[in-house]
Amino acid sequence: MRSLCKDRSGFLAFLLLLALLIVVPAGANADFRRFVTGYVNDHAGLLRPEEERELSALLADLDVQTTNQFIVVTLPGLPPGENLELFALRLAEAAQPGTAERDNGLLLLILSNERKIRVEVGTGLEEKITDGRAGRVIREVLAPAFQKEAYFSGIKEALEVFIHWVEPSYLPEGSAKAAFDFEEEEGPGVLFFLILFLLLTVFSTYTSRYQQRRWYKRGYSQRTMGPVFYPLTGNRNRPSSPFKGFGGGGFRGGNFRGGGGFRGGGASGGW
Amino acid sequence: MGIFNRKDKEVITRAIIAAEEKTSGEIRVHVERKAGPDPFRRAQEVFSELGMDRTAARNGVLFYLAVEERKFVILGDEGINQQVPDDFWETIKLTMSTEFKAGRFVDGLVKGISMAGEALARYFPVQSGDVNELSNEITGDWEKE
Repeated sequence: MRSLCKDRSGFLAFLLLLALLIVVPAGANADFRRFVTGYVNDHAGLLRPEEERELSALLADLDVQTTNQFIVVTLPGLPPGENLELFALRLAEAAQPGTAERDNGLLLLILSNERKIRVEVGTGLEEKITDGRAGRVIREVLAPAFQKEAYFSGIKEALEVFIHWVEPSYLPEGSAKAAFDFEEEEGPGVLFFLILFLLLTVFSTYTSRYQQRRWYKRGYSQRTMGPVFYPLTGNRNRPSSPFKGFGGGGFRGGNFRGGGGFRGGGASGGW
Repeated sequence: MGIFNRKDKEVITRAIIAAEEKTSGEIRVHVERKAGPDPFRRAQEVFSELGMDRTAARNGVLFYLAVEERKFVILGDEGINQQVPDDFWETIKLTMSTEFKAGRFVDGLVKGISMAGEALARYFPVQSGDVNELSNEITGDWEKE
């Protein structure tokens, strides 16, 4: 994203220098940057050239008009040994979309072979593109489109929805998705799962006690049958995904500036 | 533009490797020209940019140098920072700045690295099956022209 963002030109120049000068085996970040050379980086070949150009133009204009930097990266799959969440986060960190002050970048990562989608949202946009919202775009816009192999329309629509949330006045009136309004997904909500969890815990404790007692009476070790735990977590954010192929992946991981970020201590001095 | 030649880099890298042999902690050195108005904050950014905030035990230690501005920062992540005495980083800083002021950058860094390494080895001793979570390399604009 060099030259796309004036606010960081100094740092980007440094990154460029780093990339050029470093003679030792390039560090991970340098590797990551090769995936991102523009707004739309279709390494998986899902888009026709004119489609890629159209999306790039949309995002370039968005950047110029609003400073929000949205990036699309498609890859056939993850590099060996990579994990989706970490990879997406590191990619976002390497590309650094958005301005330093506003952290208003977004990364849409699509893995075509693995059929996974991930959206990373800069901290500046988190309020507008919440986990739930990003999840809904994945499930309700991208996944169905991708299942029909309609990559361009899916990506375009998703971007327009994101743009609509971030800069409601940016998209021209009546444009395809300016009117696309999700009602907020409350879904089953946390409370539902809390209750479900409690019920299941009580239930499993009850049954396992019962079973333990029963087994015990029969002379088996009490340990044979422990309490059963139900896999409740993991899908909490996408409880009702009707899509079988795409739609996994997940949404936002953390903020671009380093996931957890630095939380320790230290000292600084000079010479 | 940096302040180290290849041989210096090798010495420093070896110091890092030696320190890391005894600990699950991770040490890195990052050099750039300028840190900007707030070196401490810039160092924290670098810490994250290098992915050092993703060690399992939050025990990464970064030595950050802004050579044109003659500033340096030592950062220890949460895990190690909770264990060491309050003046731990200051002590390393003093040792290093003494060396740096005399122009002995390699010595200063090697001393700092080994001090950090000792603390890491005490609180995060190496375990079997320990993987080196981060690369040992020195990153940034370290090389002398």
